[in-house]
Order: sequence, then C-alpha cells, then structure tokens
Amino acid sequence: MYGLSWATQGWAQTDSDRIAELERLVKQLTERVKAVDQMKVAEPAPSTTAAPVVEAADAPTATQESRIDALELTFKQMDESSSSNRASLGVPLHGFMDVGYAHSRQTTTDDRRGGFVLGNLDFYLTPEFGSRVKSLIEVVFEWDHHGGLLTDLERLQIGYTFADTLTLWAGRFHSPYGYWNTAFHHGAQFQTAITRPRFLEFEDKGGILPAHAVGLWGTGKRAAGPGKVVYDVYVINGNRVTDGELDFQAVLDDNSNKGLGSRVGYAFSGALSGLTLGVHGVSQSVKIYTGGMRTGQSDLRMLGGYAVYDTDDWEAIAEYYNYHDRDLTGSSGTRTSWAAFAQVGRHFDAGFTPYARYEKASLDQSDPYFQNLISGASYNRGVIGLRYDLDTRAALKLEGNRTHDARLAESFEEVHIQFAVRF
Amino acid sequence: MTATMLIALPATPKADIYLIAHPDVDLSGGDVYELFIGEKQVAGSTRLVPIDNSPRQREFLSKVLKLSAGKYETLWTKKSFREGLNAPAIKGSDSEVLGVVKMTPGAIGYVGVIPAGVKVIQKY
Repeated sequence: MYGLSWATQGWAQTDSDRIAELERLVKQLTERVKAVDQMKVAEPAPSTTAAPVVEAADAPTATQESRIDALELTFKQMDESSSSNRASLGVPLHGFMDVGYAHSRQTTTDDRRGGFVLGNLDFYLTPEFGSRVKSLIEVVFEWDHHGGLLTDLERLQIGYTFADTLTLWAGRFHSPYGYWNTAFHHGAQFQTAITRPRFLEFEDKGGILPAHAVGLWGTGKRAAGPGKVVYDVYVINGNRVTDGELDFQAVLDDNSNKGLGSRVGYAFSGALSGLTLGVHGVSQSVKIYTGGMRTGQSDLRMLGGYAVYDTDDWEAIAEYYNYHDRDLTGSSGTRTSWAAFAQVGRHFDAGFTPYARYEKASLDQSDPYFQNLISGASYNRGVIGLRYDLDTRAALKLEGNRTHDARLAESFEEVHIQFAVRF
Repeated sequence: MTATMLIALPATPKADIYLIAHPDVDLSGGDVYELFIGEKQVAGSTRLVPIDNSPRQREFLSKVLKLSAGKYETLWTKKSFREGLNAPAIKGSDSEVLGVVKMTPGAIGYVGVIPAGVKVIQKY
C-alpha cells in the first residue's frame, strides 16, 4: 500500500516534495523493519522498501544529492537487515518423491512378485558460504525389499569455485562417469524412464560400478571452438566387494591404492546444441571379502564413452563401459568385459514421451570382480515405456521390460508404474 | 505485492529491458544467456551474481534468453541438483534490482527504466 500510494500521488510533485515524501516513507518502513526484527517474525521484510530510492537519483541540487545519499544509505541498511532476516530463515529445501506399482515374473523365494511400492523421498539443499564456497547436502529415505526403512546421507560435499574452469569438491558425491549417474541419480522426476540400466544400479541394488564416491573431485568447463569442453577428475576411496555387494567405502579405505577416475566431454552448440560426446575411465584396486575373509583382489580398469542428445523434442543417451581387469591373487590373468545401453525418447507437446532402451552386459565370469558380485552376471534387457508430464514438476510413467540373465539362465518380464514429483 | 503494483503503473507492455551491472563487472551482452543459466559464474576475478526481476522476468526470459518460465525453472532445478548451484535471487521491482546491483559486487540484473549509477551492459 505504501508503494501504491507513493506511485499514484507522486507524479505531479516536485523533486523536493517527492524526496521529502520518500524520506517519510523510508522512516516509516525502517520503523516497521525494526519492529519486525524485534518480533522475530519468520517472514522476510517486504521488498517494497527499496522502491523510492531509484526515482530520486537525478535530484539537481547538492542538498538533494546529500539527501539522496542518506536515502541510499538507509536503503542499504534496510536491505542488509532484510537479507539478514532471509538468511536467518535458512536455505531452500528441494527434493523428489515417487510412489508406484511393480510386478515381476522373475522367480523369487518369497512369492512377493508384485504390489504397490514406495520409491525414494529425497531432500537436498545447497547452502553457500560467501561468494565462492558452496555445498550440497542430500538425504534419501527408502524402503528395502524386506520393509526396512533406510536412511542414506546420499551426498555431503563442500566445494570452492576458483573459476568457471575449476570447482574443487571434497566429500561424498555422485561418481562422475557417463551421463546417467550424475544427471538423474535419485531424481526420479528428472529421469525419463522409471528404471536405471541394470548394470548402473546403485551399489546395493546390483550395480557393477560405484554410483557414489568419497574423496576429491575437480570439475569445470571451458569454451573451445563452437562448444565447450567439460571435464571431471577425481581421486576416491577405492571400492571393495563384501559378500557379493560393491562397497564404495564411505569411511576410510582398506588399501592405499586410491581410485582414480576422469570424464571428458565436448558439448556442442549451434546446430548441434544439446549434443555432448565424451570418454570416461576408472582405475582402482578392489579387494574381495567373503564371510569376513579376504578371498581375492582385482585391478579394475574401465574405459568407455558416452553420448547425449538432449533437446526440447528428443532425449537420446548411450553409454559404453569396457573392462580390462587383472586378477592379483589368482591365475586368471587379465579379463575383458563390457556393458552398454542406449535409450531414446521423444517429447511431444501434449506432454507424452514414449521411450525405448536396450542394454547389454557381457561380463567375464572368470574375472574375480564380476564372479564375486551377486549382480556380476551377463544379461540383456529391452525396455519400453511411456511418460506423461502432468506438470513441469509431476510425471506419471508406465514401463515394461524383458530381461535375460545368463547366470540364472532365466528370462522374465517386469512392469512398473511410477508417479514422481519434485519440489 | 506492493512492489509489483508500484512498478507496473509506469511500465508499458513490451518495454525496453536494460541489462545492468555493478561497476566492477566486466561482461558483454553475449554472456547474458550463459550467466542466467548458471554456465558462467566468474568473470575475471569477480564472482557473478545474477538477479532476477519478478515483474519483468517473463518478458526477459522470452525476449533475451528465449526460454519459457517452466523451462527456466526446470533448468535451474537441474543445475541445483547436479552442480550445487542456487538459482538467481528474485527481486520484486526495478528499484529493488537497481539497489542491489549498485551495492553488490558482481551483481547483474535487468530493469525496465533507464537506470542511473550502474553500468548498462545492453539494451534489449
């Protein structure tokens, strides 16, 4: 109301009159801000407090200029007060959640093949500390297959931005390989499909690469030609395999051989805008434990590539991983395996996105690394699905797949329905 | 609410938009897209601080960035989730944007009136 009153009455006034009016309003607003501060009201100060200052900027006389300076000083103090109030409110909380239904024809031991499911409840926030220090905190709640509630401090990273070409992060982060793992992760609403490619699943759900990492991560981008070079380099706690499951060792490392990884891509612009092509690699020594006893060790060497084409109409993602793993305790020597997927989706204006994916893993079972992973089996899977965006923040998805697992010598079908939102 | 009403009165549809910056910012108009989608965070030794202007945001997005409001919001949500960046602060009026840009090193905003006391990078 103060602003409206000022705006409607002030046009016919002289500059001096207007400044006097502004001073009166600023005084009133200052008093209001003080009153709000004293009451510790949990709402930020109204943004109207700054409005009068701008119109007074051209005052012709020295007296008027000094009064304008005083007004600006008052504005600054009020803005700082307002910012202080906002800071005291904390930082914005964002997140994702999803629910759904699933049915599988895969053979199980407990006959629990289908039913309603709860997905993830994911909260994340990005507080900044000064102009260059930033952080990312993400917590995920999910139910395991047996009905237990799991809580995971998904990401806990603190970074310093030196320049656009380098931000250095420390802590726990999403392992930067390919595109899928860092682009979607627990952000189900972002992800066109319901399921991740099986070999890129999280460590406790069948992944053959660490989806998470603890260590140091440098990342940046630099203009080059018509596009940009984007890169990531990281040094992390090496992984281990414990009773068939990949453990990325969130706390401490069981050997001095740290994991090293990198990802380098080129993001095109102009006619090829949306296209990114890149290569990625990971190297580490992985110890294998069964029942608390060390039963093997393998040098893992992965090298591969990825391609992404993401525009308003199309989303196409392809990733390739080639392994040359060396058995350090047995006699199987160096073994070669590979895994890959390609997914294509087409966005239509009505909100529908049909999509299809094919994925295949050919994993050498004489490689101790894959031999000892429960999920280290060769397989192939075809996926088709339909996504409907009810809103930019809510999506309904239907997806079916058929999988052949070589270790189980079994083929089976699955159907998933998911309702995913972000906030 | 009052800030929106205050500025809305003198504004006209499809008014000019002035990209303004704190005097210490060394940036060209060609960098504005990269800046407002979080691709450019630093210029020289200055950490850039983009500021959105609520009453003029829709026009700025369509006229300068060529983005819809929904696309812009989605883009920043992804930036936040993937890179730990925060979307530009949103101010409620030209005067508020002007005040912040004048007093914040690295700040860049856009207004609909010819401003005084700041660097005008480009007029759209």
